[in-house]
Amino acid sequence: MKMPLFDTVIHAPNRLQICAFLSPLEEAEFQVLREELAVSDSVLSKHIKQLEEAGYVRQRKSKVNGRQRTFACLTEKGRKAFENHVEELKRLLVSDKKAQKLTNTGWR
Amino acid sequence: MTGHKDRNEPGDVQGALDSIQEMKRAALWRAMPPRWFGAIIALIAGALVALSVAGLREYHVYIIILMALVLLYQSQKTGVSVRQFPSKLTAIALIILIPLFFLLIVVAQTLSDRLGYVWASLSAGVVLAIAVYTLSVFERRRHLTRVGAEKGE
Repeated sequence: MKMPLFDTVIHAPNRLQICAFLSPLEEAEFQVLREELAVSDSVLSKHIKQLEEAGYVRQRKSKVNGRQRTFACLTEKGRKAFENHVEELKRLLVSDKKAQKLTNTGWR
Repeated sequence: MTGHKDRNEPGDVQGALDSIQEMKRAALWRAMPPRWFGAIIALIAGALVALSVAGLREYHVYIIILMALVLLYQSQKTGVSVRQFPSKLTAIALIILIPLFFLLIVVAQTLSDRLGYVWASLSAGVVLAIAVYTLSVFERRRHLTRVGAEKGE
């Protein structure tokens, strides 16, 4: 199945940030993601769940020092979708700039 | 997936790309070990060699436990693990470090008659500690370059 380039699941600001944060990492703790995104637990959970349902993110629970800790990572599918989405954003930006240039020079 | 282009203003797209770079940089920054980490690992490796030369092998277990605790503390503190393999040069250096470890022990034990056990073991420990610390500085710089590259991309 051909993967869509512009991904509406990823493009929501918080989900885009989650994917961007996870992209250079193997995995990140839930608490770290919450701090970086400056959102509440419930908001982060909701977005992670949506990414998980799309098959883009996987969660892992681990008990460390008697405390339950949750880690999230991008799946291969999620990584590919994110890369495609970024490429599409870059392409959109370039085409917008070209259109702007043509407008400024009086071609439109 | 039609009509996205109409819905996305150039400013929005630029904003999204900027936000992506910012988050990638934040992730890499968080994954970077502090300066003390390389120094501690170097000291522990040096102590391991020094104790081997001095024939105090019964203390090895404490040193290994200490190293495991430092590694565990660091991984728990950052809360992230980076998806990055060491550079080719670092991988080669790591492979060289293992025979260097044993070579230093043999050389220091040979020289211990001339230098005395204390100086021979200390010298061997210092040589390995310097090698490990240099490697950690090199890896840290490489990581910083990567963080900088994400910023400037």
